[in-house]
Amino acid sequence: MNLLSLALGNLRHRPARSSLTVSAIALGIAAVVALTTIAWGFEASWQKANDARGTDLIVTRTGSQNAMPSPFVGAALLDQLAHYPHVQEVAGLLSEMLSIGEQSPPIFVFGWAYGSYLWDHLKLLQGRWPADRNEPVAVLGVLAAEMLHKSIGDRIELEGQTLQVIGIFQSSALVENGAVLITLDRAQSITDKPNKVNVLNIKMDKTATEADASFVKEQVSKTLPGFAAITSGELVSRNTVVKIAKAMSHVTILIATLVGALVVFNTMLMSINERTREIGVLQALGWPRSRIMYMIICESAMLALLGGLIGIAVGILLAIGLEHTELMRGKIDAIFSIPFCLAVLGLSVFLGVGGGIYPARMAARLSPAQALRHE
Amino acid sequence: MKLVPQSAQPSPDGATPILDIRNVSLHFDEGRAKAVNGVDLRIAEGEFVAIDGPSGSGKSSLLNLIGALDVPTCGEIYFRGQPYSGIADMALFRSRHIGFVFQTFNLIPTLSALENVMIPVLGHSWSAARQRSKAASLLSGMGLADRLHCFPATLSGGERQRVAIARSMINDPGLILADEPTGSLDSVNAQQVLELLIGSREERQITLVMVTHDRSISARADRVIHMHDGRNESLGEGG
Repeated sequence: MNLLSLALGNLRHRPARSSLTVSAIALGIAAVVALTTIAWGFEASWQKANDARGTDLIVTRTGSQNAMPSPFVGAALLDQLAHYPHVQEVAGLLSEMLSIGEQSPPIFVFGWAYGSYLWDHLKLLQGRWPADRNEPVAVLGVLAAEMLHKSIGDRIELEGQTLQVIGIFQSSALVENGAVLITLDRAQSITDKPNKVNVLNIKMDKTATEADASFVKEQVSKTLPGFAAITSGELVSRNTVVKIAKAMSHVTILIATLVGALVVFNTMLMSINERTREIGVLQALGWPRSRIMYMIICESAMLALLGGLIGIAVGILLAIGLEHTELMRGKIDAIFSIPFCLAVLGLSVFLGVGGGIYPARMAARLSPAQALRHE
Repeated sequence: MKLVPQSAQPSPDGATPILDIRNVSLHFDEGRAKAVNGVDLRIAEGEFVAIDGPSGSGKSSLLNLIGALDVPTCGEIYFRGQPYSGIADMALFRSRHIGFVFQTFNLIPTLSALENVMIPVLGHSWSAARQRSKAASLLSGMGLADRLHCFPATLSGGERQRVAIARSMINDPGLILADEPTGSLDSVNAQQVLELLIGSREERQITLVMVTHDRSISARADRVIHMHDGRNESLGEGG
């Protein structure tokens, strides 16, 4: 027997209260884990999509804070950018979130410049690619095909235009697997945004260095007022939705921490009130105040540790469940990291210890004689 | 903790008493309630002293003062010549020198009999094996060798009190304070517990101070102290 086993025994002796406390902590931690992994997943999914395409820089409107920045006429800019040193290729891209049919959840529709490098990283599983820039056809990501229950030869309707499904592809990026892919010209026609793009993707040649990319950034900044050349990471991090998701996860962490600490605090106060006499006995038997404090803090830390472990497991399951819901499927790839889980566990134990300190001090300060008289 | 005699008066036989209580009072409610009121008492090493008296006469309060669970309002208590007021760590003092036996046993319900006996030495420098073997040996001496791993809820009242007596002895204390140890037991168990307590005290030469209402127990004591309105009256030898 040691102090830890004694603390554990005390918790097991009050199973209902211990379980409720652990559940409350677990709920808070689960919310933190689920929301944070989703927020990170949202950010990572977009970055992964940009990285998979081999894009080095993205030209967008300076003030645009959206995952799909506001469209602009891209032809003139494209020509200018293509002449910068070490720029191998510039490709326009127009994205929209559209519903396909009445029952379908909103789905990403990407319009990519026909014949551009953007298409190169995709693996065609079935069918073929569009034959020209104006062919009224679509290729579907594997996940999109599954969600829409469409296969080669079927038709989909986008904003009043009917397109034939001619291919199914696979990408290393979840966002693309869950998308409908059409040519840029077809996308401009469907969305009634002639000649417009959300972004221009720049691919540097193989000899390009960081300095060359910086030069392009500077040139865009100097010569194209209102536009900026940024990396995919920078584009994602300035995304308002990502910012809101992260802010929500931070607020959740704050609320979960406060609630968790208060729950532990309340539980330990009740426990000490019930065990006043027992604490008096321990004092009479020669236990120093420090040992009594340590025992109480061990109990609160154990509650928080268990709540943290369960919360992390539930949070991961919740995030997996969320990313598979009809609305989220193919859009978010939840990110689970061991360092994050360990940090959350550390936070949980910290709030447990924090919530247990005052009750522990209270217990340690009890007068032995008064504690023994307590009924 | 080494106790260095300071200013306690020696007994008439020249030996320093284990307890020298001088004009000790314990007042509550700003002096309006006097639980203990000017008690003077000396108890020799190895003596068995019974404290009796009506309810509210201050017996348990005096025992709490002797056990350093309460601080006297005035007066001083000396343990082997060392004044309580000069002891910096009272918890350590209790853990080294005093064993407690309570009327309601006060065992920890989440621990087995063996673990309950080990509680006072938990966190000491003793090895786990030493704690365990000493506790098992004490419980065997109490006739509970086959009940080591039973929890208090599964033990009879007499068995629980025997566990509590074993617990009070694990530190080899010089002084055991028993507050009506048979008060919650039937007569058969009360007799068994009393015999074990007195037998252990004789075997280990422990000083025993026992609060009791039971005249038959007082009769077994070396000396009976009668408490009345917070004051003590020595009634001389018990048995």
